[in-house]
Amino acid sequence: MKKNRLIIITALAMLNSWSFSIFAQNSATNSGGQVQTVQPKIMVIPYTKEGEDIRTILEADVNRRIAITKIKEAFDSKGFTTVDFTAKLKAAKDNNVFTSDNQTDIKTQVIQMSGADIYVQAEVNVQKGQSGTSVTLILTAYEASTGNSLSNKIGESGKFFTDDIGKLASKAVESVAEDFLNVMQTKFTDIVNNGKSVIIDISFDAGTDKKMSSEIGSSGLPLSDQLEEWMGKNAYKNNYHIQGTTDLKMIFDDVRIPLKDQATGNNYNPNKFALEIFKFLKSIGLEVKKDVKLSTIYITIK
Amino acid sequence: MKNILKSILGLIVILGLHNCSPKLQPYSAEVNFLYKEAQGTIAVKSTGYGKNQTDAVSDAQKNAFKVILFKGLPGTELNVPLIENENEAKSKKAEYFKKFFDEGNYKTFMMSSTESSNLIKVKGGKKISVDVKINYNSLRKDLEQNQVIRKFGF
Repeated sequence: MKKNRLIIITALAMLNSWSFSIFAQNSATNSGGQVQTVQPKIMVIPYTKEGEDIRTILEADVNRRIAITKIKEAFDSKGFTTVDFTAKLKAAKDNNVFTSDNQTDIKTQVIQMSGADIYVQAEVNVQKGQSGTSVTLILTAYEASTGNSLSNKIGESGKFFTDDIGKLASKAVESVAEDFLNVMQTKFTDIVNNGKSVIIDISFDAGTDKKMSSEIGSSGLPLSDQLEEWMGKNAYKNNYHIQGTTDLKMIFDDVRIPLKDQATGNNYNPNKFALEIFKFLKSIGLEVKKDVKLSTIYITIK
Repeated sequence: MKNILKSILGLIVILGLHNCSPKLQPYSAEVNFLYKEAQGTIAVKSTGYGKNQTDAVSDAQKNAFKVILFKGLPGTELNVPLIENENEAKSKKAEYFKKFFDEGNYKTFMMSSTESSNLIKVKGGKKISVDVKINYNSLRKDLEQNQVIRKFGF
């Protein structure tokens, strides 16, 4: 009897220490509580017209490559490392990522595969005339998930009697790079202060009889109203926007989440916010599936 | 009667002394873009005021930095100021700005300074124009290292 009790106590103690060790920080990676803010992944890509193959464009046009490299240099000068588009393109090619799906072009597939949060698009236009040659550069930075514009600038090289288009492209980049990055930084400050934007798409599984108007849980309120109430309480600084609600779908196209967990100071991300929504829907008696793709959270109610 | 006169005189003296107390003077925004020679540098023409030439030159140099730090210079790469919120930065990093302006740390980011006008007599002092070339790349790095501004990114 005494022996059995001893075995049970030992087993419980082992179980206890095991459960702690699962979530305890590994001594090899322990930073002593220091938290480094997760930086956005930025990728610089060339602009392509509809139907143009981005691979051939980039391989054939050295001037576009020069412009892209100069933009990346500007990021580097600020101590910021960008994701290399050509390397990602090559990796995608090697891994046969590209599908024949016409719905998604290669550019979109590379952006999705790279995991870039922000992409900077560079359009290079060459004008040749009797008074000289010039290059105009259009720079645009987008948030990949939401499509929010972060910075837009047009750079001019000025007119020169030269055929060195690469040099002119460099001059055009130099004329706006600093200003372009400064505007981006002000948008980053807004994100630091007011939170990062995520999209939340809530829909229903084909087999369910539940709808947005269904009265769910002990409160008996329609599901869409309960969701909005929850979002109002949990969106960072009460900042959220509903794109639309139907009986079958509810889309929040801009919900702000903080960059840092307000309680622990650790990094916060859309996955953690998705878990909070999951927990809430569970608490009102719903079976839920969640998916997170970059900054978009997909919730499917079963 | 004598006492009343004394009191009035005392009040005048106190009020007079109060007016002499230091006040936060707005700085001049007479700073204009001149040229950009190399990436990360900017040359501006700045106007300064003071009791004598040394004071006026020093005021012009400080004004050039103040505009770049807190106001931004339209039509240049520094369209957006280096420091977004002047009041917040000044109150949070008072020691940094004391060293920067009062103890002359700003001079370490000044590549050249040339007087471009004669000393002109104006009401209450003298005025001068100075061409100042600033290494704003290293100025930004210094602001980042001292946590006055964030590094690029979040």
